[in-house]
Amino acid sequence: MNKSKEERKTWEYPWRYKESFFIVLEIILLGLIFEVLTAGRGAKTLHWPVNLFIGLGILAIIILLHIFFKKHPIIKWLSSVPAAISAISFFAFVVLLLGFIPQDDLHAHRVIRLLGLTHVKNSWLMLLSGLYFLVTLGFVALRRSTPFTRKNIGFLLNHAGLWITIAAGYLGSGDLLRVHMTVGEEQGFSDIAFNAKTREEVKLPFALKLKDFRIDDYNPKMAIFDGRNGEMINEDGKSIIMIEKGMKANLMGWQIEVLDFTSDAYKKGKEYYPADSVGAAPAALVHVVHTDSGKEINGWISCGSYWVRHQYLPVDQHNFLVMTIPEPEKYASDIVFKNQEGETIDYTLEVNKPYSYSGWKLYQLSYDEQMGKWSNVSVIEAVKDPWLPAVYTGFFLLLAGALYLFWIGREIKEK
Amino acid sequence: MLWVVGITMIYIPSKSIMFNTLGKIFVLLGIGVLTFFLVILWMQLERPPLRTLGETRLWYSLFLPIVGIITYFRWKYKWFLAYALALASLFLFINYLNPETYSKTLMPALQSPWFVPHVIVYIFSYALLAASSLVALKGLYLLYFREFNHKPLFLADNLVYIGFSFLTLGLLFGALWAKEAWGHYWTWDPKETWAFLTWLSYLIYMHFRYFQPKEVKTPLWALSLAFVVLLICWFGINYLPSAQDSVHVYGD
Repeated sequence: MNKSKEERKTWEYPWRYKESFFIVLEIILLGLIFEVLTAGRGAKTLHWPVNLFIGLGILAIIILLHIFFKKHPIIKWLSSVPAAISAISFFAFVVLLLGFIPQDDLHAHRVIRLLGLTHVKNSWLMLLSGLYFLVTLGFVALRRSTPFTRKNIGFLLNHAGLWITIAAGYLGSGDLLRVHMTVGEEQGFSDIAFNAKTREEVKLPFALKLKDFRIDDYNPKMAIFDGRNGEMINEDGKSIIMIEKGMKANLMGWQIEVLDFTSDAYKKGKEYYPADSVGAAPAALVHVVHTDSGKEINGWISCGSYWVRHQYLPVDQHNFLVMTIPEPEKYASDIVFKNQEGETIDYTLEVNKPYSYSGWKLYQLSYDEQMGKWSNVSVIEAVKDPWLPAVYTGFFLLLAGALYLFWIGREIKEK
Repeated sequence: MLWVVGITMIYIPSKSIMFNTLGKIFVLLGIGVLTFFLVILWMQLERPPLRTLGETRLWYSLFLPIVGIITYFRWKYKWFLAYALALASLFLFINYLNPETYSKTLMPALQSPWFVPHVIVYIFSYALLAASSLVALKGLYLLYFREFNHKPLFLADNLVYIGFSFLTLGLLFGALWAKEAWGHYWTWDPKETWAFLTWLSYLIYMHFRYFQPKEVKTPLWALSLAFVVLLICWFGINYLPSAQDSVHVYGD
C-alpha cells in the first residue's frame, strides 16, 4: 500500500495517522490469533506478585526506552497525538464490543466465543489494547514530565493519573477477592466464607456474629386491578398511590379514603388487627365512593404475606382495589465484629454503609428472600482489593487533573 | 406542579424575541422559577428528584439555560442562547406531555451521599456537551451551506473542556460510590461501559483538536458522533440487549 499521493510515503518517518491505524489493525489481528490459539479462553488473569513484576517491568522498559532512545522516530511516534488517538480509538473499539455483545452468553455462536467476544473483559484484545494504550500514554507522560511547568503539571496529572488507574486496575483485578458469608441470628461467631467466583472455602482474619437482620419497608401502594385483562391499571405510575392513614385520593373515578392502616397486621374473622408476629402483613381499611353513581363500599385490602392471605376489594363487576407489595426502604444487619485480637465492635451494615477493616470491606449483600423481612439470616460480602490504594491514587490525580482542565477551559475563553 | 412548569415554559422561550435587558431578566426569571420548582419537588418527594429520566430532564432544562446565559454574558453568542433555551423548552414540553407521578420511594441502593453529586455533576456535564454538539451542528451547517469561520470551534472547545472535566468528575464519583455500594469501583456494568465510551469519544476529539487545530471537518463530525455515544449511554442503555440486567436501570 505504498501509494504516494501525498508528499510522504506510508511507513516513512514521521509516522502519523495512517501508520498508527495500520499498527492497531495488526494488533487486533494478533489479539484474535492469540485468542484462537488459546481456544477462546482469553488471557490468563495475573496474580500477586507476578502482576506487580509485569507492571514494574512495563514501566521500566518505557522509562529506559524514553531515556536512551528519546530521539528515535518510533519512540517519538509512540508519544505523538496520532498514536494516542489510535490507542484511544482501539481501546474504545474493544469497549464498544463489550458494550454491544451480551457477555458470558453460552448460546452465542461458536466463532464469536472462539474470538473471545463473549468475554471481552479478559480477552487478548482487551489485554493488547490496554497495553498499547499504556505504552503510548506512558511515553507521552514521560516526554511532558520535563520541564516541570504549570502547564506540564496539569498534563501530567491527567496522563499519569490515567496510567496509574488503568495499570493498577487491570493488573490488580486478579488479586481482587470477593467472598460471601451467610450468618444466622441464632449462631455464634463465624469466620468461614466462600469465594464468590470459585465457591472455595476461605478462612477470614476476623469473625462475625449476626444479632438482627431487618428490612424496613415504605408504605405499600394501592391501585385498581382490572379483572378482565388481569392487569393493574398503571398509567405510568399515575394511578398507583402510596397509602397513608387518613389520606384521600381519586383513582380512576373512585374516591378513596384510607380510614385505617397498619403495616403489620393479621386477620381474624373479617377484620385485621395490629400484630408484631412473624408473617404479619400490611392492611388498610378503605372507604370507596364511585364518583358517577355515588355507590359506596367499605372494606379491607392487604397485599398479604406468606402467612396472611392477600385481600382485594371489588369496586364493581370487574374492577378491584388492590394493595401492592411494599418496596424496601432499608436492609440492615446488626452485627458484632471480632478482629484477630479478639476485640469486638457493634456495627449496623446497610446498603451503601460498608464496614472497613484493614484492607477488607464488609457489605450487606442478601438475606433469605423467601422469608423476606422475617429472614433471620443475612448474607454478607467481604471484599479485599490490595490494589485499591494505587487505583485511588490514580483517581486522585485524575480529579486534580479534571479541575485543571476546567481551569484551562476558562483560560482559552479569555483569548 | 405542572402549572409552574407551564409558566417556566412561557418565560423561557419568550426571551430570544424580547429586547436585550428585558430578555436577560426573563431568562433569569425562568431559571429562577425552575430552580424554585425543583426545590419544592425535592421537598415534597422527600428525596432528590434524580431518579427517573423525566426527573433528570428537569435538571437538564435547568442547566442548559444556565450554560446558555453564561456563554451569552461572556461571548455574546445570541444564537447559542436561543438554541439552549429551545432545547430546554423542548425537554420541559416532553415532561409536560408525559407527566409522571413522582413516586416517593427511593431504593436502598440509591440512598447515599454520593447520589446527588454523582448525578448533578453528570447532568451538568451532559448539558455542556449537548451544547457543544449544538455548536458542532451549527458548524457543519456553516461548513456545507455557508461560509465557515473558526469561531464556533473555539466555543465548542471551551464547552468540551469544561464538560469533559465534569464528565471525569462524574465518572470518578460514580466509581467511588460503586466501591461503597457494590464492593467494587468498576464492574463493567453496561452503563459504566457506555459512560467510559463517552469519555473516550470526547478524549479523541480533544486530542484531535490539539494536534490539528486547522482541520475543521473531522472534529465537527467527531463531536457530533461523540454526542451520539453520550445519548446511547443516557437513553439507549435501556434498549440494548447487552444491558438487560444493568444495575443502572431504575425507572418503572
